[in-house]
Amino acid sequence: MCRKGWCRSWRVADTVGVGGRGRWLPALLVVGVGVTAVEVAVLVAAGFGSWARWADWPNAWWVVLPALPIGWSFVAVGLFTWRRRPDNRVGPLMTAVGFGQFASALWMVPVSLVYTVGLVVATWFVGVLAHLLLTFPSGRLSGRADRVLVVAGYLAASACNLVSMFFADDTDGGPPGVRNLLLVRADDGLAALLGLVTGVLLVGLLAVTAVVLLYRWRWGTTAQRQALSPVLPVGASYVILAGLRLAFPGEVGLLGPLIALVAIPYVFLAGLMRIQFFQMRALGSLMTGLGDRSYTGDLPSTLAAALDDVRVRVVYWLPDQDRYTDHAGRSVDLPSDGSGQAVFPIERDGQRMGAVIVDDVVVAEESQLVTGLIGAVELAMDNQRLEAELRARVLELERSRADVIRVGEAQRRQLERDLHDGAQQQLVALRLRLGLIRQSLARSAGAGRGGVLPSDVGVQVDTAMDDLDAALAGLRELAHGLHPMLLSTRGLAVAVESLAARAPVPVHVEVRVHGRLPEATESAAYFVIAESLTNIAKHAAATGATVTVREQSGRLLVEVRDDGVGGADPTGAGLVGLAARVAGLDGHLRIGASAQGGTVVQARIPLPADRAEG
Amino acid sequence: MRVIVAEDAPLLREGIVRVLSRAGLDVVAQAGDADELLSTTRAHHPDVIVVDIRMPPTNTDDGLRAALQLRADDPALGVLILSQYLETAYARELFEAGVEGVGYLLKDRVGDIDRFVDSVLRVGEGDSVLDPDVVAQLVGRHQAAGPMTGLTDRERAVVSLMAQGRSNLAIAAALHLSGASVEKHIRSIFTKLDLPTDPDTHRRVLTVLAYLQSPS
Repeated sequence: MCRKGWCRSWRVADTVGVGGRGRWLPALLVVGVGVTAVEVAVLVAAGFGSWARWADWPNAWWVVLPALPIGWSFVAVGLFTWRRRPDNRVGPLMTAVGFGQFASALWMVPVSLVYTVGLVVATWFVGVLAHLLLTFPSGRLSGRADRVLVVAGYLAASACNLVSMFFADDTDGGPPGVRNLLLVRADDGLAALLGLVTGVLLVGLLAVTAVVLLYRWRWGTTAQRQALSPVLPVGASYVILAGLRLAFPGEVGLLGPLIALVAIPYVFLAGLMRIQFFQMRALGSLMTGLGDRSYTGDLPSTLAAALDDVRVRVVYWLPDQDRYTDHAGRSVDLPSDGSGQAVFPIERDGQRMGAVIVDDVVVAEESQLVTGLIGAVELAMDNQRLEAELRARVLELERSRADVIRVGEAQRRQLERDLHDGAQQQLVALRLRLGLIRQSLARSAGAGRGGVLPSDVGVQVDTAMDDLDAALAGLRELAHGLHPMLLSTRGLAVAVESLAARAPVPVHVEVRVHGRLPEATESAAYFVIAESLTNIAKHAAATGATVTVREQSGRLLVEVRDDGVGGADPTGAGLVGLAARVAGLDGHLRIGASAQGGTVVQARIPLPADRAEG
Repeated sequence: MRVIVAEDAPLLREGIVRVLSRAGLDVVAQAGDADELLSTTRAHHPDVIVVDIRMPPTNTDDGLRAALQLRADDPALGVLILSQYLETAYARELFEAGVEGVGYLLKDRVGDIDRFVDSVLRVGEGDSVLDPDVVAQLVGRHQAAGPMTGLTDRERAVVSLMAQGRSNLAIAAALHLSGASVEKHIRSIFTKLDLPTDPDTHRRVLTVLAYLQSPS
């Protein structure tokens, strides 16, 4: 949770690009190498000198030797970070600390001018270090308080030695044969006092910095907390040790802060890498959540789960209503400039889909995370949009398929009715008329009841009546195939019994269904059985068949099994039509071979949910 | 014999009425739908009603249901059902309402005028009549078990003709047998079906019922 002043949100607009680093690199290295060379020369001279006893440079080794590796540590890590995160000021600051370290040993060079300047800049690196600590990990200062601290730090770091040098005459700690060029009035006591005062100030500022860091580590943004975890102990110990050194000047006192300083660049690096790690993990977790099979489309929850406490909001754009809404459909107004939040629109193919709203602080400190986030949200939204479109399309198709099936049914019923009331009726009437003709003929010929007519005409009438009988039988079968009236009036069980009775092989029937089923379902089940029995009669060479119909787990199970030769062709028009009809009810038709060699036709059709089983 | 004819196709209805009238039956009323059938039957109390299964109002099985209702009111009423559906289920339903004086014929049969008139008369007298095609379908069923399995093929043929409502003489003629051997077969059938031995129409009807009710 971010509170109060130390990590207050601020404008994203202040993106400071540190560009052109590429040009600087060789120049920096040259300078670094040059200074190092000089200082190494100093070391060599000091060492040679003591050995040859012609110079007395007691502090040379203590001062120069540690400065070089520490300096190069900072420079190396600083340049590395600068390269990896070009717009993060941490990189250049760290490099500057490194150079500051080189500078802090300059006062060992036995040239008065260099000695004097070296003394002035010896503590500069502390100011830069404070700056670095305060801007870590984003490279940005987060408020006026920060800026004040940094400026004060630089001032103190510069003034620390400068003011006392006006009065310091004592060059014993330095290289042989140098003079303090800034000497105004020799007053060692005053020099010492001033030195102490500014030293205390500096350490005090460092302590305040340490407190700020502590605060951030406890209550800062996620990135701050993650990055400062390794840095804080080392930084704090440096401060403490530097303070102790003031109290106990001397070689031993140097050791403490030195060790802390050596560690600092690496903990900084560790801190930065830690952020990277956590961001990657968060993004990874987000992507996994979005790609998970159980992802319900609740983007905000998935985001919240993946990103811990990063404050991110997702809003959706409704084009036909021209407004933004949240996941639940409530209207949302985009935050205005200066509200401390940044808005990133999400678009695909020129179509606006929504937006991501992120706190400025997060954008500033975790820009990589935000970029990844926006990409993930874009993908997720696009996915949702496509899925919604797909579902709508599927629904439409299902509805139209159901319509087609329904219309087909209705048409068949109409045809059956037309046949019954039309052609069949007329042919029956015609047969009756022929019957009357026959009767008249019989009477006029004098033949008895039901007798055979002798004349030619009689034979023709008889033949005509037989032909009519055949036609009527055919029409009857046709009508029955279109729509079996028994199915509508008496239900599936009775109709299936009737089918079994007509079959040329013995059919064992088991129908365990309670009450009536939806018309379309009964019809589909009936025709599956009818078609299967027809196929058995035509192709299977079977000795028997079994038909079972039962309800199970909210579905109707229809099975027709025969013991014939098998080899049913699932691409036959009848079976394909059946499969489509069953599929239109969200069911499934399966044709397979039974273990005994015959064929099994199985249909599963969902039943309405409110149907009581049993 | 007093008859009511219920049939919704006017042409056919007139034809049937004409056939029956010419044969000497008294057609006391006609009906074009189920409700009319109910009202005219209750008004005129005929001996037989000749009914089409499919009639208004719903055009599914209104005629059958009306006939069954009338039969429930008056079990002595003769009911002859005419249908364009070759469904043993309807015939079974009809016979479950009582085996005396019921008949189920395909509409085509009205063209066999003599046979048709005979069927109407027989139903009116309390006999039972089944369309030969319906019988054929019953014959065509493969019976796993049942009273019919104990009969010889010849006996089964006799039963099927009996079910069609033929007299012993007609059966003899159809099967090219003597009247005596037909009677012998019939006695054997009654024994095998475990029916009592007094020779009246009830046994024939019971035979038919056994035939109809055999499991498939």
